[in-house]
Amino acid sequence: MTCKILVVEDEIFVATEIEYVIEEMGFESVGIASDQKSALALASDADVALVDLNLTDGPSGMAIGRILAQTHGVTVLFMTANPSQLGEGIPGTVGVLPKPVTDSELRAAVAYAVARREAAEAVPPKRMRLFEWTTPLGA
Amino acid sequence: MPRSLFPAASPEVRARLEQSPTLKLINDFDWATSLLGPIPDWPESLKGAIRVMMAAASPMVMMVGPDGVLIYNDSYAEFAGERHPAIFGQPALEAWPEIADFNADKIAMGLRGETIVLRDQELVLNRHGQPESGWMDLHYSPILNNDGLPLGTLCLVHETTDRIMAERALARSEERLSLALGGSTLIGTWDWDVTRNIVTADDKFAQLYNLDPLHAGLGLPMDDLLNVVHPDDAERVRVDIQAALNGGGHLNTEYRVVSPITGETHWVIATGRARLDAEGRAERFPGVVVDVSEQRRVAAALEESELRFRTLANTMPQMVWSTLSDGTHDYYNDRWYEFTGLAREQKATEGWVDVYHPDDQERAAATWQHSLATGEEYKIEHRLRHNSGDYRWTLGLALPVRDQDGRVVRWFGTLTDIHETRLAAEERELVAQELSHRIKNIFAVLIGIVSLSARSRPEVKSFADELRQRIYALGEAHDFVRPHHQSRPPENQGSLRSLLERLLSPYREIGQERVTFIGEDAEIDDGAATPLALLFHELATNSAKYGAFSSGDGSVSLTGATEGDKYRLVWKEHGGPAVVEDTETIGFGTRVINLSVEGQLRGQVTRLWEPDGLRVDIVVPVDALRRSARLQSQVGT
Repeated sequence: MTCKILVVEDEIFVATEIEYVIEEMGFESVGIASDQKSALALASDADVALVDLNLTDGPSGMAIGRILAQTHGVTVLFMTANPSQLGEGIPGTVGVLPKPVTDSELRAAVAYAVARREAAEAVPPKRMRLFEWTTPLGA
Repeated sequence: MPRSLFPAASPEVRARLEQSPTLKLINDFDWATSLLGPIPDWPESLKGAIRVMMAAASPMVMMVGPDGVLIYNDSYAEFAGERHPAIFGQPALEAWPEIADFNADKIAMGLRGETIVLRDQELVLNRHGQPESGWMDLHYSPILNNDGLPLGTLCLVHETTDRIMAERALARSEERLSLALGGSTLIGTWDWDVTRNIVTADDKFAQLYNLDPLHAGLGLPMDDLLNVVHPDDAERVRVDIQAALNGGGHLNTEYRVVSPITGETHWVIATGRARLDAEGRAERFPGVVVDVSEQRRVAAALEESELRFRTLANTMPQMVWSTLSDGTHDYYNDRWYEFTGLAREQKATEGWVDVYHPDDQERAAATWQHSLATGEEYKIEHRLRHNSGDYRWTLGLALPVRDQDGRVVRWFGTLTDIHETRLAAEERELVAQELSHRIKNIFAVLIGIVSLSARSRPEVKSFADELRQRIYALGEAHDFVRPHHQSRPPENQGSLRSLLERLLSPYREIGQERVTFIGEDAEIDDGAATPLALLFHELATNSAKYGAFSSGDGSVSLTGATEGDKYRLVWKEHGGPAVVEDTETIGFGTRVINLSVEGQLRGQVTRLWEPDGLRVDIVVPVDALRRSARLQSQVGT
């Protein structure tokens, strides 16, 4: 089954490029969400989510990531220009990659998130910070 | 016939007379073998004189005949000490060899019929086991025979040693007192004959009171002295004196003496004690006055200095405090009480801990203990409870005050309210961070736009990839030099080496040293970071395509060196494929390198295609790397 990936990102050029990359990698994009409401509307369709922190409705990314991971069992990876906002991390989420990202970093990050989802072996991109809890909640 | 001085005495009388040890000695002495012969042969005048002498209370001795045979009475025996009775009946010169010359002279004088009186004559005699000086009044007179010619010499001895010793002791004592008083410029003495109301005083006293020393020595009425006491003190002094007179107690009073001529004022302390007669009335009142003007002046100067310090401390906007060397608080200025709202009555040693924020107490205490232990400056930012109940950030500073031996004698410290400053700094930091995130977001959007644009034009994909990576490198440069908060400076912020480490991190692999930096590092700022980021991005990208980074075991070494006002960095590749000079085209990557180094940084770049790998020499002015150096060079020109 093809992995379904949600992009939570309010910069449409960034989001669209990510979507392209996801599809080039052979995964399925379930859509782009630019705020909490639209993100949660797509939550039940997603296996993996790439989540920015600052969205059109404000700094709602952390809450979205938490709900996606803890309520919907989504594998959540944050991508943000301000990683320090996350502090020690959000329980149940995988980690954070600081923006801007290169093409290869993006591909490695998506591959890693999918591999975590499927409990497969994978190497995260160098700049990615993994959160301390290695076992996803509900697994 | 008994050989006695009293041949006619009855046995009872003789027995009574012989209770006198020397009289008995005369009677028992074997005069027959002596120079004088037996008693009955002695001239009557001699015997008569001896009888008088033996009955006398005063010490007397006779030196009879040219040899001066000694005959003496009980009192003299006592005077002679341990020499009695051995000397009795002996020639004087043998009896007292230590004063033989003295006695020979006196014997001759007596035989010439002369008299002499010697007062306090000092003679060194061995009367108690060792030679000692003794003093005596000596009255010498001849003993005349019935023919009018001298038989010998009578000497009346009155020992004055005790008196002489007492007089000498007194003289020494007086001399010491005189030296003590005279050596001091501060102490004068007086003696008030209360009954006659005459005060006699010494020269120093006279000087302190601005009196004629002659008059003071002869005596003055007490009122003359009180007249020079400062008017404000006079009444009090009178009361104190009266109290001492009435009770016979001690006087101890401090007052000013004003010179009627110069108006000069001396502070003095007068101490003394009234001596009472049998009826309890004061008859004498001796004492001393001490000039304490200097102590007063020092004390006043100290007080003024203290006042100045407190005034200064209270005009400061900061809180000021001080502690003893052990850290015990003993002073706070007004600001402290105003800020904290603590009561002034509260002891300075208490309460100060409570106004520190609970989260800062441990840190502040540790810092303070460190300073106390080492004498190092105390400097800390902490929160302090304002009287409103809010905690405000304050800067605490303290320095030790040391004595001549370098020991810390106390600490002075200040507390400055930096709450607004600190909040403003925190807000600035927030704004700077926010701005930085937005800039990074713009880089992300730019990269997104370039990627999306290229998707509709597959033929420019490689161009777009290069462009995207250059934009990414610029983003890195921005992130590297953006302003950071002072309290959290990243390591090696602003150094070329750390920028390189960051830019080249994608080419590093665990367990392999693909990038090495040796030699001198260089300081860089945000102005230089952008062209440098582009430069090394191009070099690394190029190396990944054609050079050392393209092969698994290739590496790059970077060597930095300052050469006067220039900085040289050599990029040298090793272990890549064999290189040949690319003469076909000057690619855009090469242009980026040239523009960055020669255009932006005013430097020079040289490429050498050495057989073992590319070598790039980059030389740039030091002042192009950082703004502070640029400013310095401007000041210098």
